[in-house]
Formats: sequence, structure tokens, C-alpha cells
Amino acid sequence: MTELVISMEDITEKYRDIIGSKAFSLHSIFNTGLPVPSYVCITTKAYEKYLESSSLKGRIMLELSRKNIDDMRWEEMWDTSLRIRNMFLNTPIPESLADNILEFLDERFTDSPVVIRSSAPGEDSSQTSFAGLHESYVNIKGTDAILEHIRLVWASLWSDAAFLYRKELGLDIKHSKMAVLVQKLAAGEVSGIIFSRDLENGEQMVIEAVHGLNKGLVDGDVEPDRWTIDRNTASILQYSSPSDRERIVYLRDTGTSLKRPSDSISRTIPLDEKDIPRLYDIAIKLENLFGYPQDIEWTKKDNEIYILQSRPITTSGDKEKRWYLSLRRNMDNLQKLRLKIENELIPEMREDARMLSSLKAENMTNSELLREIIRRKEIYDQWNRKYTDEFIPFAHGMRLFGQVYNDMLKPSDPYEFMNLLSGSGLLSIRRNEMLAKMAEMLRNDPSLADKIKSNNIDETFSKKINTFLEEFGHSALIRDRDDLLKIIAEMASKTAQSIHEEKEITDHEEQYLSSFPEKDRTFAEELLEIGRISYRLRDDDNIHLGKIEHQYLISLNEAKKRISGRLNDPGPVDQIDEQEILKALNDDSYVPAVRKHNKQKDKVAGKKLFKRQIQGQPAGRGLVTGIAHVITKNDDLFNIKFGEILVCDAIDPNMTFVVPLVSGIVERRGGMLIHGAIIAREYGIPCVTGIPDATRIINNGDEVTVDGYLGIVTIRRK
Amino acid sequence: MTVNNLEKDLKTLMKKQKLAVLATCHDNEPYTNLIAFVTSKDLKYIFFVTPKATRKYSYLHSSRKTSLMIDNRSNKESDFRDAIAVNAEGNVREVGKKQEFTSLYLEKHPYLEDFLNSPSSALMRVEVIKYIVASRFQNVMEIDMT
Repeated sequence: MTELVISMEDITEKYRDIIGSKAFSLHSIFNTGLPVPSYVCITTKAYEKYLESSSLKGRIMLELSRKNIDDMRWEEMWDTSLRIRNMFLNTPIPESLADNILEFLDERFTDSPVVIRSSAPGEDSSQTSFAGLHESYVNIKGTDAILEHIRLVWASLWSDAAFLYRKELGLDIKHSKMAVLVQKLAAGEVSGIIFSRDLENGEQMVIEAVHGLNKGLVDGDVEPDRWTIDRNTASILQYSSPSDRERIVYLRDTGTSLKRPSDSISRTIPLDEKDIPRLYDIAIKLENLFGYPQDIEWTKKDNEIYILQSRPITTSGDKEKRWYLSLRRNMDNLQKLRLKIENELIPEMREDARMLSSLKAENMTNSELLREIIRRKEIYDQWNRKYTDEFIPFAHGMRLFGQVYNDMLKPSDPYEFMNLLSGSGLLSIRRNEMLAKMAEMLRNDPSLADKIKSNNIDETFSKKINTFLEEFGHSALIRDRDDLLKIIAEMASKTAQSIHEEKEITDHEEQYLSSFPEKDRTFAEELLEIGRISYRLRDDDNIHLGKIEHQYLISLNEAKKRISGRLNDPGPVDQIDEQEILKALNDDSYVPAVRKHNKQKDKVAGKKLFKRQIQGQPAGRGLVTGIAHVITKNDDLFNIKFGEILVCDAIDPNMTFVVPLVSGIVERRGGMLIHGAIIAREYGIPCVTGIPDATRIINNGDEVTVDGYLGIVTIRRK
Repeated sequence: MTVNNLEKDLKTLMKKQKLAVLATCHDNEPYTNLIAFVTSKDLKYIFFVTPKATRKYSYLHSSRKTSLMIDNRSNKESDFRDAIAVNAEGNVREVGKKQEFTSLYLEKHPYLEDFLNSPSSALMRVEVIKYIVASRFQNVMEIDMT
């Protein structure tokens, strides 16, 4: 026997560290005589051998050294994880190791379908449990597919969720390892979960059950029947049925899917009165075995109850981490969310913006204006919350599409999938096209430029400006005609960037679709559509949000105008906080406090320490050198010159009208699916994101090289 | 030490060490960097990769002369007895990313594949004029490669 693969019967205490927590816990359950589906364990030694025999260890190290994970945003973690996952997808298991694994699998499973589960050392210790951070795959058949899914489980050691819990997991390339369980699929007629002790009430136990496989229950797609049991007497205290039993997880040729069960199944309670005491006994037995309350997954097949896994019950704690983990959505959720966003939320948002713009702040009395500011802020905050709750989760459509695309096509560039999403008719691109047309009019008719300078614009051009402002203005940034004319004039000075045409998009789409078997083409098409809509809405929803913010800012600016006369120096009117403005509106004699400008903060770069070369994320391919134009306030956007490098903190779609003018983008906020990256890709402009303090360490006028291939920004100070 | 032994030790060192210090010169000012290198089998050439936006890349364009240092020190007293330090002098030029060069490079540094293949990086080749090998603290020998 090698220590690369160990069968369930051969597991002993000495292998505990190399088989991981899940495998060892199953071994303990198996020893009690409870039924456990047959399994073998691919140990952490096999993982290490795989890493060492390929270049993966070094490549993961390089990827992780790109930026301190503590400084990464969630989106950057997802990107890092995606890149690492792609490395695993494109690195086959060496033949000798694969032979070793297959020898064990052939012996035990012949042609039967298997489940492939993660079993990371320490993942489910007595004090902690990290359910859902690593991947499991159900109903995998055939040696090639099994070997590929073993690699995917290995890759999930570096999942975005694992990065989020890196401190708790002690995640690092030197020590972190992953073992994998390959287990016979026990496709039960009924499955479920037992919480041997209810976290809310220590005297109670909870049993949940669904028809079919328990994947639907674990993933939150299928609502279970639920029993609350008295731990002391084993009697049922409460039973609650789900709102319906309209969905069931069933086995496809490979993998699983949701479907509607037969009427007789959907009318039937999954467990009968004999099952509850059996499950109760199992739970008490396992709790005694492990010494802690247990979260137990089980399935019932031919009246035998199999234990799939058992781990300690813990709470996941951190609210923000839980929110991030909840972002994982399946197609079904995404379809529903799409309908809600397109049919309800965006029309409501537009209506709110329209309604607010019909009320003129300048005609209000001070007390009316005060109430209006509060109301607009509330409306804006409410939409911001909806943005977090509904719009950001929908952006997961892009991620889901990207992951499936990479699984099917295994491209060397993990972001190749973005080429199929671009050209989806973003609002910001339409806006930029309108600007480009007006710039062209100006370029073709020099007299028009003179007329603009003398504020004597002809009617045709004036109409175009008005149409633009009606459709896209007023955003939070483009405040008036003067702002707009400045940008158009600059655009007219040369031929600005146009959208990067993806000539072979049809071929590319065909290549994607044909990578799926015929029967899955509809799924592939639906997923592509969700990906495209998610990509488009991610940009568009910000434009709509920007319009509401603009209305709030109008009311605030009107108030600032009214109170500026009370200041000794009217200059710093922008440095008055909202609360001070409201106080001043309420009391005509009140002189608002001006926020002190922290000059020290602006000198972070210092004179002696100069950051010359910084590594971020390669978000738009290409290499360009140009003069930096740093955006620190809104007005900076309107002074941008053709060919400059846009350096900013975080681009939102309301700012991207300047993108056709620039030759490169550097952004503090990191990620591949953020607006800056999306728009740079649309225009084919080199872009590096995730440069910490970008707007502080780069000065206006610095010569900056943006290496969008490697994600490097080089600064040359004159 | 015989010439054969010296060459053998030199080859072992060059194979084992992954990083070298590259010295360039610009406006009469010396400048050094760490680079990941590989040598050709006959030790006549040393290859390394650099992003094009770097100082070393632009310096090497203005002066092709370079000196590289490769050593196996372990930062202990025993280094005075055991460490070998090699100085390679030569001229550098950018070469195309031909398969024979890239496979040689990736055999030693497979994790640098993306770095090598990036259109924004350059593959550089040093044509070695001579190696200067220092061992046992102060023993120095030269190998002429021309």
C-alpha cells in the first residue's frame, strides 16, 4: 500500500493528518458499524506530489505574492481563486500518480458513479467547521472525469471562500494541503440533515428531510420538511412542512439537476414515524462518538440510512463573510433575480429619478429644502442597500458563466470568457457613442467650436446636447452643459478610441456552445444569456443609481449655495458635512463648521520614499506609456487630455465617458469584473487595477507605463 | 582544481541556482537587479526575462555590457570555505521568443511561463565572454568563453 491512496478499510489513526478531517470522521463512523458508502481517500501526499511534479507550487506562490491577501477586496480574491483554479484545470495529474489512483478506483467502483469530496486537514476540527468553503461533486463517472474533479477539489483549497476564512484556516502555500474522498454514490430516495443540538435551544434536536438527494437542501435550493425533537425524550415537539415540495435534486447522466417531482412525491412527507427514532438514535450515537453536537448529512436508500458526513456544529460568525458566501447563486436564482431587476427594480429606479428631477430644489423654501435633502438621501440610501442585496448578487451571473466556460474549454487565459460578454450594449457605451457623434460634428465643422466658445451654439447641436442630458444626464458627475462641452471639445481634437470589435464573436460563441453535449445546449445558451445580462446590468444599474445620487447632490448643492454667504471664506463650501448643512437650513443664523482638510494625509508618498513599480491585477491587456491624469475630484474628469493615463480610486460607469480619451487606466480598486476593467476591455485599453493608494502615489504629470499583460504599473517622475 | 573539475562545478552551480544579480551601467552609474536565469548547455549563453517597462531593459538598450553574479552562499561562516561565487561578463541583446530558447528557460522556471510569454516582457540573452570563479574565499580562476 502506498500512502498516496488509502481505502476506507485500511485507515488508522496514523493516517489522520494525511487523509483530512472528513475522511477520518467517516472512518470513525464506519467503525461504529453505521452504514457509510464505500470510499477511498486520495491523501495530501498525492496532492503534494501533484504540485511538485508540475510547476503549480511556484505558480500559486507567484499568484499569491501579487498582493497581500489582507489588502484584497472580495472581488480580487475571486479573481485570484479563478486564476489558480484555471492552473489546476490546465495541469493534468502525472501519469504515474494517475495510474496509482485509478488502480484503487477501478478495484472499488468499476463503472459506478461516485461523489468526490474535499477532506482538508483541520477543516472540521472539534472547535471549528468550514462547511461550504471547498468543493464537492456528485455523480461523476469515468476515469477522466474523476481525475479532473479530483483536481477541481484540490483547486478549491484556494477557493474565494477559503481566502475569506484564510486566517481561521491558516491558509498558506507552505503548509496547506487537501485530501480528497472518492465515494460510491448512494442515491437515496430521501435525504437530509440532522442538527443533533439546536443552536437556538440546547434541549432540542432538528431533523430536516427532502425527497431525492440532499444536495438541494445543502445548497439551499430545496426547502425541507422539518422536525424538532426533544433530546431527552426523543418525542416530536414540532413538525413544519415546506411551502411546497415542487423541486427535487435528481441524477442526470453526469452531475445533478433540479426538477419537479411527481404529484405523489410532492404530496408525501419524506419521513415516516419509524424514521424519526432511527435518525434520533444515529444523532445521539454520533454526538457521543465525537463528543460535540453534530451536523450530520444522511441519505435513505432501500430503507437503509447511510451517513454521508458528520461535523461539529459551529456558527459562521462574521456578517460580511456570510453575505459574501450568500452571493453564490444558481441559474434558477439568477433567472428570478434577473426578472426582478429588469421588470421591477430598474423601472422603479428610473421612476424615482424622474420624480425627483421634476421637483426643483431652487424653488423650495429652506425648510422644504431641508426635508427634501433628508428624503433624497433616504431614497438614495435605500437604493444603495438594494444594490448590495440584489444587484451585486446578480453580478454572480458573470462569475458562474466564467467558471462553467473555463470548465468546458479550459482556456489558457482564465478571462477569455469576457470576450463573449462584451458588446452587450452597455448604457455607458451607448452614452459614449452619442458623445463621439457630437465630437465628430465638432471636428467636421470648426465654426461650431468657435460658436461653442462664444456661447452661441446652433439649434441642431443644442438639440443633441439636450437629448444627451435628458437620457444620460444628469448623472452625479456630468452636472451641466459646460462640463459636457469641455469633454466633447477634447474628444473632437483627435479621433477617440472606439469599441474594441470582437470580429470573431460568432465563431467564439459557437466554440463555446459546441463544447457542450447536444442535450445541454439550452443550458449553455441560457447561461451565456445570464452572463451577458449580468455583465450589462452591472454597468447599467450604476448609471441609474448615479441619476438618483445626482438628484440628492442637486438638493445638497442648492443648500450649499444658500449658506455659502455665511462663511468667512466661501471657498471650502464643499468641505461642509451634510449634518452641518441641515443645521444651517434650519437656523438662518447658524454658521456651519468646515471640515479641516487633512494635508498630512495627502503626503503619504513622502519625498524620500518613492514607489516606482507596483504590481496589481492585469485587467485590460496591452502596454502603454503616457502622462498620468489623476482624478481626486469631479472637476478633474473634465480636464483630461487625449492620450493621458487615467489614474483613479474607483471608476464607476458615471465616470467612464472619459475612457475613449485615455490610453490606459490605473485604478486603486481591484478586480477583473469591476467597471474599470469592463470598460477597458470594451475599448481594448491597457488597464491595471488593485494598485493601493493609486491616486496618492501617482502625481499628475508623472510618466506612467501600464503593463496590462502582467499587471504592473511603472512610474517615472520628471 | 583542474579545468574539467572547474567546469563541472560551474555547470552544477549554474544549474542549481535560480537567481543571479545582473549589473548594468547607465550614464556611468552602475545598477543591479535580481533576475531568474538559465544557461545554455555549453554555458556560452545566459538567458533571462525582463518586463520592457523596467530600468534594466532601457539601460541594456543604451549599453549592452553586463556582469552577472551567481553564488551559492548560505549566510553562514562555512561560506568562506564552501561558497562559490561566479562572475559572468558579456554582452546582452534581446532575442526572439523562439521555442528552443523558451523551452530551455521554462525547463528551469516552469512557473514563469506567463511572465515569459507576456508581450510586455523581453527575452534577453547574454553572450558570455568570460567566467570568473571565486572559491575558498580568495581563489579566483577565469574561463575564457570566446
